[in-house]
Amino acid sequence: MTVLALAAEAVASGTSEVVLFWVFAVLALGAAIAVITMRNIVHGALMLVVNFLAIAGLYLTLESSFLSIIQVLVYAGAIMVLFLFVIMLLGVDNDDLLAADVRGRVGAVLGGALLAGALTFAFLGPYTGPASVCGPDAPAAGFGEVDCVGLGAVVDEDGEVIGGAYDEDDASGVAFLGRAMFTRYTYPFELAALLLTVATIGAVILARRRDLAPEDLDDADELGPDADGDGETRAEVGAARPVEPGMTGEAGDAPGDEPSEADGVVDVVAEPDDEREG
Amino acid sequence: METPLWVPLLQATVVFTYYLLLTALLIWAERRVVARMQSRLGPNRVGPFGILQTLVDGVKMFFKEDTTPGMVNRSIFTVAPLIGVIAGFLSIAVIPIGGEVTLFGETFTLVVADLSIGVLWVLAMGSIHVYSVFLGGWASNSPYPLLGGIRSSAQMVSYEIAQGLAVASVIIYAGSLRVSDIVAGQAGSGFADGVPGWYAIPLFPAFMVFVIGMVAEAGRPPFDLAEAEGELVGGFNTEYSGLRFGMFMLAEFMSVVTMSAIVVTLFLGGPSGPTFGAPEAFAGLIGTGWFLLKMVVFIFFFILLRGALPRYRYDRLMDLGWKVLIPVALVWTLVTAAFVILEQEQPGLGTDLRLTLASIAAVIVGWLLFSGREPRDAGDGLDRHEPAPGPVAAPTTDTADDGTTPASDDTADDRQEVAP
Amino acid sequence: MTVLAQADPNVVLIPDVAWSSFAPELAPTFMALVLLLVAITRGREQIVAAPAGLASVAGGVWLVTQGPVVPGAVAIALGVGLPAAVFAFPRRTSLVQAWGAGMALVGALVLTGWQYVTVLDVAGDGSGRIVPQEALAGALANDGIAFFTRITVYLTALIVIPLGYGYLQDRRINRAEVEPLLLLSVVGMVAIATANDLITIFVALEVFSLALYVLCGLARRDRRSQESSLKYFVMGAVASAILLYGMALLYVATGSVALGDIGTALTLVSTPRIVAVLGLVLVTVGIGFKIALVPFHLWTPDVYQGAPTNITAFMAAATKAAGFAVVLRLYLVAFPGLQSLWVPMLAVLAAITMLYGAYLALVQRDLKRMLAYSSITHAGYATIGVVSVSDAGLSATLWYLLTYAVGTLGAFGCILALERTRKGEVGLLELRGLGRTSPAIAGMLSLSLLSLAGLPPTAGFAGKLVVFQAGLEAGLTWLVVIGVLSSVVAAFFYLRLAGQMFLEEPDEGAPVPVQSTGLSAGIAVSATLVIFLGVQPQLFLQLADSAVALVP
Repeated sequence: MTVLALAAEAVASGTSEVVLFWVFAVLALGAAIAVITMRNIVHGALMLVVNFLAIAGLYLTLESSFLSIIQVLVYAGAIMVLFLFVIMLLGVDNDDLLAADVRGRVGAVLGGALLAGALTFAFLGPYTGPASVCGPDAPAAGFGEVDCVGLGAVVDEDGEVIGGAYDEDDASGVAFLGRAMFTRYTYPFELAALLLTVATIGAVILARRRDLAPEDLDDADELGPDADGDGETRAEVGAARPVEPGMTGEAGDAPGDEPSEADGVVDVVAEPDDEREG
Repeated sequence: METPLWVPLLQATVVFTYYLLLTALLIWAERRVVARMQSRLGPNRVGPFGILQTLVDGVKMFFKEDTTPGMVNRSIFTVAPLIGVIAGFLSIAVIPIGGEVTLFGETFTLVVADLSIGVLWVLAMGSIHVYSVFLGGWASNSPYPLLGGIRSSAQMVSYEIAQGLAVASVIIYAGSLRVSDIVAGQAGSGFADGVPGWYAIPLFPAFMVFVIGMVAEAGRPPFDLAEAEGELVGGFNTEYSGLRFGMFMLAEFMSVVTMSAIVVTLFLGGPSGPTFGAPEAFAGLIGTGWFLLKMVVFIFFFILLRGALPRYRYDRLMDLGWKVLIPVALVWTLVTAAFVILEQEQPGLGTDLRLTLASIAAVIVGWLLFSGREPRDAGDGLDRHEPAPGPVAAPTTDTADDGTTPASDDTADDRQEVAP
Repeated sequence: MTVLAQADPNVVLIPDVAWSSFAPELAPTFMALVLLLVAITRGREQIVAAPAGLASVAGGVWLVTQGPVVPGAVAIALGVGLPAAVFAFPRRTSLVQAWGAGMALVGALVLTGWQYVTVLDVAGDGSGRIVPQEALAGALANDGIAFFTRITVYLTALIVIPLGYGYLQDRRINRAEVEPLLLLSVVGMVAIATANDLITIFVALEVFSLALYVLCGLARRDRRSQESSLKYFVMGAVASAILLYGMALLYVATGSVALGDIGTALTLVSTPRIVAVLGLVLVTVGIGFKIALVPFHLWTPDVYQGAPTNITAFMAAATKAAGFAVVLRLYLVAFPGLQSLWVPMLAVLAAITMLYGAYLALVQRDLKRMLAYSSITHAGYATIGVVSVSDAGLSATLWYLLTYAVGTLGAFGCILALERTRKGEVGLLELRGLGRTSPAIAGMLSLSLLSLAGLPPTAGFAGKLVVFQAGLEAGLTWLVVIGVLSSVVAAFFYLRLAGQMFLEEPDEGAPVPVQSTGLSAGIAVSATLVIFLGVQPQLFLQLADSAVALVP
């Protein structure tokens, strides 16, 4: 009821921003719940896209259109596509994913409900008054209220801007973000560059299927360090022989290490590149 | 200054109609031009020069039986083509069709919405468009469409990066994300009198990257790997028919028109051009004419590519995107940023220095272009003598198949014959 | 945030970059990038090493002429050292990389010392404390925590590189990416120890976590290694998400990401308390995962066991130091306002951790797994220093982590020696009679275990003593009693192990541990440190005491 009352009040006060907020918020929440309840995993992933789009909408209501469009571009447009890629290539069976036991699910639901309840309780008071709506019309926060979050301006009774980050010349918020990123947050920004470097190296290591650096210990245990008894270990074998196209692995591959079905599909897409890497 | 309600309504109606009309004309023009290139006549029965062919094709497609194969994922199968069309329409929204128009005392640009993040909006809608192809391929529950969908979405995601970087250098140079600001920045003359201030000149590498990227992004030959008839039957849309197939078609051709409009807006000054001393009231109209002219040039370019070039092999396509276009675009983005900073810090910087810097940068870009190709040929030669196995490696059939046989002329009805 | 907003948008604020504040990290960062490039050259390292060295020397000379002599000298030394290594070991990329990484870490240690002497500057008020420095617009705090963690982390990495070199060769996982990743994770760890706002903390956490996920899965064909990597990654990602959620709530409650501002805001009445508390709880869960406090420790045994042993050693010693650095700064700088809440919470967690870890260590059959549980227990001891909420507690935690690091490095070094011949896990029973077959390794292992158990005259004893003292001073007698109890359990077990090694007869055909230069050097250094820190703790204790100063 509180929710409805709040919505009604917001509409009455003419702030379309609040209406939009509720629309997007409900959409985002509904999609988020759908993500974890959908039986078909692709449908679930698509619901996640809907969730991202709804959150982009929420950014819009916070007057940060740049962030909003980047959310669409990066999350909905790139990351989720890669997600779907993996799901489709691996052909994940729906049943595999839903094999959680009931007790665990009950616990998770209870825990989630508890957290959600606490958060709702915590947020309802200070964050829902008129001061929580950013923009040129936003009043300053009264006692027990909190200033709006976002790029809107906070204005006192006389219309003087006293806080917030609203800037008419920078309606999309991109200059604001740029300034923040390259002054106050330069250090984490540069660290993020290192993070990407690390992630790239990791991806390369994990993605390179055919290692010329030969297999280690476990195979050695199974086959002995020099299984074919010609006096050279597989390291040397692998290094001395040029890789032939279409070869699926070195001579001494461990059983069970053969490329799986999924590998086969990847082959179609990425084979030639792989050959050169080898 | 309150804008009356009829202005946005007029803007929306005019812009959408305009681009839809252009799309219809494009389909007709493509068939005519490709036919000419292959010494055929092309459609010439309906209307003068067959110009109404698209219309009747559309009507036919509308009334054709729209089959849904049994094993498909019904909901996604239905939604996929819609996503494409919607994304196409939405991306049109930020693109103007010309200069300012004054009507009944109201001055406005013919654009649906001049968003503060306009350029990125176009890119974002392009990335949403990927879903249409991808999901269409997946939902068909059939191997070739799946492969087609996966291929083309990988392609689109990859080329989006290069394209985005190219756009980034425009944004940096213009100092704004708003389309109207970018257009305004290109008005007047550039670094010398008489040379237009189009961004294509200072940002030439970015321009090139964008043009190549837009062909790939639109999924057009020679980058139409998604629907490589020789390998994948019809690609992601094999299982589609009737109206839903028509939507895929519409989305594809619409993206040709939008991409042309975008490249004209971002790099070729949009509606800017000589007005021949026409009175103020007509200047906007002339600008619209210029815009149309530039756009038609690009549309024609798309058609020529289709008629002239064989299809790329998939791995080479990815090589081109990742190893050439992205580095070039990245370098040029950095160079642009350096230029802009220099300009701010040292406003009196001479043209000579700028030219020197530009040529140094050009050398770097050129080197990147070459070094991107070199390892392949200087390497162990595996590639050259022994094409990699797998369905992708069929360059010979590729080249023979496309563009030489009339059967690959992929209008709707032709396609239906290929894949009944 | 507001300051930025009010700034004139036309003026580009170019922040003053206090290069000296993160100078030590620059050496490993650049070395990591150069080594990556070196790896691509496939045997023609000089193509990269020569120009990189030249650039470094040139930069160093410029620095020397400009004033800061020590950084310049380090740059010159590295610029000469890497090409020299390339020249000395032609076509042996992994050796070059190991040397390069080692040199960079030495350089980082030298720069840390330089920082201590010049930049941080021991305060002139007779207290002998360093003057903390806030740099890079408040994103980085160069205080005692940062300084001491730098020493621990750099030292750990420096010992791990020779320790693991031969092992990586043996298992054929001496990939070109190992050393760069190791260096980058070191940088991430130091960055989190210097981080002064939530965003930096999170990004730095991801830097070193991501590097460790990959390093854990280095052995591509070893399923346990893959499992370890995947498990660490999945659970780490969940923990990161929880941490991030907590941080978001903290930001919502306080309107700032800077730790100091959060600390101020949390004392205000107007700050919505429930939101802040929820944030605090979630942050505790996320961080608790990284330092493996008990309810959040589930990943530790599997990951430690499956990962390549040198990586396990590094993780055990360095991650803990970095994790506790951020715990110290978060709780002492940002959360004093919520002290009544988190002190009991962490104290209970510490108690459970100490008891549960010691108990489970008892029942393990595998040496690596046992050490994993021991590392969990030690997180509990270190937490005692945190919940003491005092200068003594702060310095005690820092000091404890150093003593734990050297002890655990020694132990894992001995495991490396054993594992290289046994080709696989080292069961506890296999240690029988090791004292007869190879007394050196057995002696070193016993010494390290004694240190982990906290018996005199080892470093572990000095560490525990200081931590327990701090706990007692803070009135946490019950916690200290639990700590002593758990140490007694552990000590009993470690002693029994040592007895097994020296008093029982060896099994037939028990393999002899490998001795190689790097390994021996690494074990020797850590054993020396174990003794040295145990017998002569004053030097480092003094450093730890001088390190209590925090950026407010």
